[in-house]
Amino acid sequence: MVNKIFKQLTIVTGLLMISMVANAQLYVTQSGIVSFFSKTVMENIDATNKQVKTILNTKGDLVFLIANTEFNFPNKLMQEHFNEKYIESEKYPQSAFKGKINEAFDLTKPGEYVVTATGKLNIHGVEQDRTINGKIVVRDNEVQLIAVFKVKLIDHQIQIPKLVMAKIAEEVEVKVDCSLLPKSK
Amino acid sequence: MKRLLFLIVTLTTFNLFAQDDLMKELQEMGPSKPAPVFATFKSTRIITGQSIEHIATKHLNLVILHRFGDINGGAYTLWGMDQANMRIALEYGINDKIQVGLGRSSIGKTYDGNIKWKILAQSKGKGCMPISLGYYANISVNTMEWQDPSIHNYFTSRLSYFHQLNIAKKLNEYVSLQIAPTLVHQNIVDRIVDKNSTFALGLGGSFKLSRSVRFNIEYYPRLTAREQLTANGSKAFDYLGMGFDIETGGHVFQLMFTNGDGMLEQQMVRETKTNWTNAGIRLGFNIARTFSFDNKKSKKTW
Repeated sequence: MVNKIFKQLTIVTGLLMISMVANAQLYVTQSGIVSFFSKTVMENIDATNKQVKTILNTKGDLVFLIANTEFNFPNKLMQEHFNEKYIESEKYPQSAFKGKINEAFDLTKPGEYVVTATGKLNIHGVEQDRTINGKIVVRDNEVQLIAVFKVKLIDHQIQIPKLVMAKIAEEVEVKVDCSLLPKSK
Repeated sequence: MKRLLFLIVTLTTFNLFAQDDLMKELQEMGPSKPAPVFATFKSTRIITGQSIEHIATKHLNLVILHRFGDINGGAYTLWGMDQANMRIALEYGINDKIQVGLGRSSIGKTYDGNIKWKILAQSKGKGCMPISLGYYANISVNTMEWQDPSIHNYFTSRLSYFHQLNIAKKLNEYVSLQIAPTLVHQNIVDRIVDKNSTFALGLGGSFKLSRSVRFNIEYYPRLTAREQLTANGSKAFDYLGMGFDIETGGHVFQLMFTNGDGMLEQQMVRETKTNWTNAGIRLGFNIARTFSFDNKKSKKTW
């Protein structure tokens, strides 16, 4: 009898969860902005990617997908080096984050929410568990995600040859600025 | 109790599944355009001949090419170090398809203007382009004093032309190959039996050894006018060069051994006077440095 109740409970809850996820409103963009900045005495390097794909749902599930070849550098030689030698875009074409926002927020009410997102950051094929501080800015029909955080190259097994060691920082600052719109079904 | 546990596990892992689903949705979102293939070769030259690579838009590339004398000169010439030829080349990317350049080579005191056009760029992914295709041409002016100033000399006699189609493919991360049908045309030749035009087939390869070092090889067999002598009357050989690319951030160093001393493309094809078989080769290097003028928001150089 107890078994049967549990069985039914499992099925019902399962169905409920599926329907909840299916109904959860998605906020998406394909033109989010992610930039990074490396600062050393020798040289400053910055690069911007304006084709970042992001989805946030009302339950706080958050995913980012970044095509590494879309990072734009002022110097194209740097861009080639970034792709060929450091991020190795041929082996690892994408960087990604998937996680969940820890705090409560309401995407229907305009306002600012200071939040943290916990999940897995995948760069250069190496996954790291991270909690990232950020902000959700809800406007009339738009949700903006803002975050600034640091990535240690060594954490993602990105090695800098000794010859150029002085020119590339061991830790780069990453900025995220993505404006999401509700996905129409 | 087990059931309860199962239920809890199902519920807690559900979020992860949700994120994976969202990630899957992201992967499928938007037009999946083919990704460009980059760094087929490290430099605009494989050894001496052109590679498929261009200088990026609004970037200037300064290349200094240098070839020493024959190493079979022995200790007397310090294995060729006594003698040196050089070429200075400037290359500028007008857009991502067109690159223009100017050069000056010490052999024949030759000035040249050149243009490189990228017709097709290799990419990968759905609907990709399997190869890169480019065209390279130059016009060069030999500015040596006239051999016989007493006769009427025409300016056009100083001119020679070089045309080349570059077909290149990066096979994988480690190997790139290039085939380049080539035509050299010289307005005036030295002997009545000489042909004005020579066809050749440029073959090149690049092999990645580490993140910063590649091994390159280049061979230019002539398809026509094989018996033709060089301008100074010595036997002509097919150009063969091999060497390494060493990259250090903003510079690419290329160190090589070649049999020809010419660094202008037509000299490379038609004026190679020495042969690998009797060590008629020389040490040489190219140094390339790139400057970016594409700095609207920042004034940084590499």
